[in-house]
Amino acid sequence: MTLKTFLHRLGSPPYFYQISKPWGRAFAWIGLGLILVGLYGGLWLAPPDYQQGNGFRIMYVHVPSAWMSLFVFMVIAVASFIGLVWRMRLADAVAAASAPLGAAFTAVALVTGSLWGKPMWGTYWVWDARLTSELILFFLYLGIITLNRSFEDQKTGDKAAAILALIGAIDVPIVHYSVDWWQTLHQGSSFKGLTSEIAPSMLWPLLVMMAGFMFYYAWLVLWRTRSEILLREMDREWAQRVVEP
Amino acid sequence: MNPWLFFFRTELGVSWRERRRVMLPLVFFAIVAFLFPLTMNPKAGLLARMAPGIIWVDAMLAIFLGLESLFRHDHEEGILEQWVLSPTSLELRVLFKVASFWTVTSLPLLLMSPLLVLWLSFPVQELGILLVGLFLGTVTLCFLGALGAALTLTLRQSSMLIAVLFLPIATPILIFGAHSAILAARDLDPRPALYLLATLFFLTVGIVPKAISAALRISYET
Repeated sequence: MTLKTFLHRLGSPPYFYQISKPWGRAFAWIGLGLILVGLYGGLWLAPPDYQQGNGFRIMYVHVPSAWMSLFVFMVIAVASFIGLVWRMRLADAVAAASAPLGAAFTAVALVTGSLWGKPMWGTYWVWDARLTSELILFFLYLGIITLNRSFEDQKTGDKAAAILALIGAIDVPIVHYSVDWWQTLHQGSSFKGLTSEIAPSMLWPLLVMMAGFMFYYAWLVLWRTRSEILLREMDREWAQRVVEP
Repeated sequence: MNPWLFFFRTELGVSWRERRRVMLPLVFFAIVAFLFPLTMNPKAGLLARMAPGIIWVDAMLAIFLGLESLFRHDHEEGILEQWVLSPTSLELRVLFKVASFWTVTSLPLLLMSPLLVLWLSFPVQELGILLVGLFLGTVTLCFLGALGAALTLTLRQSSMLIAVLFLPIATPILIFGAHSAILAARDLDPRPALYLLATLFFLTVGIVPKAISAALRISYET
């Protein structure tokens, strides 16, 4: 099967529903494995930081969550574009399934960030550039989720949320830049291109955790998309056969 | 007369017939600004430092107040449906509609801001910079707010939802806008902030009418 026919078949909800189950299982196990390895590497094998002691270890959850919060927004924007332009129902379902996950990753990033901030900066919250743009991102997620669920007709909700997500996707870099311009207390990014300032013994668990979070998200989004599809296709015969065999 | 100018003038006339819509944001703008000196120690130094932020947040809230009814009447009376069906450009119509909304709700705020400058002891000689910033910012805010209004057009009690959609997207404008005034008040060069504000102005006027039109069309598609 070529890639093109695969993509075309993926657009059909029953086909997606059928193949997403084994894929989801696989992603779940890979994600679990990677996260366990990453946690072991980060919490036991990595040496304490010479400045931050053991406090830096929260970054093994914080950095992947913060990264996922932006990645999921990108997924929503791309899915929204596909849903608006090519009217692909699967894309709408993926966007609707992703938004609460992205909001959750953002919330985790905010909470772990402020827990880390208490011992390091002496306060749970500072009006620092990245914290602030992450908070605005969280509000954007809430807007997309609420808008999507506000309409009686799910199709209207999908389209409205898609427009908001696309404008939001243009807005997120602007917000980031504006807040950065406003002021910054946060330490600079530790990733600069391909070179990194983190010691290899601390870095590899972080990369493993990031990969683990990606698979974890992939599993969750497949699972949630399955139920979103069932909700959207409730009056179709195949969906009724799935629900009441 | 150019049909678009005629449309713009008609919209202004309709708003003028409902003068309440012009007066209310203005009164709100004044009352909110007046609450701040009451709830803090009105020592001139502190107020002067807070003034740019108060004026900008106040202007944004005053615009927000009018958003829910922006497309509401046209929607309920079926005028909007005719716009969507009409072969003339919906984007241009939205552009002029929002321009008239700005003229009715925000232009009075700009004219009123000298009063706030006096109340909040913002340096009077920097009034010009404040007004340029407010002009660029309020136009941008009107377009972003209109998008929120268009997305929630068919919903009841949409104003809470508009707040959740509109306020996070509007933060860069508030940051650049308030900081242009802060820079001016500190005798620093406000142009960097104003240029950034102008960039957002053109970006918004260029892109957002398209998004508003798409949002309005949704309501009639399904």
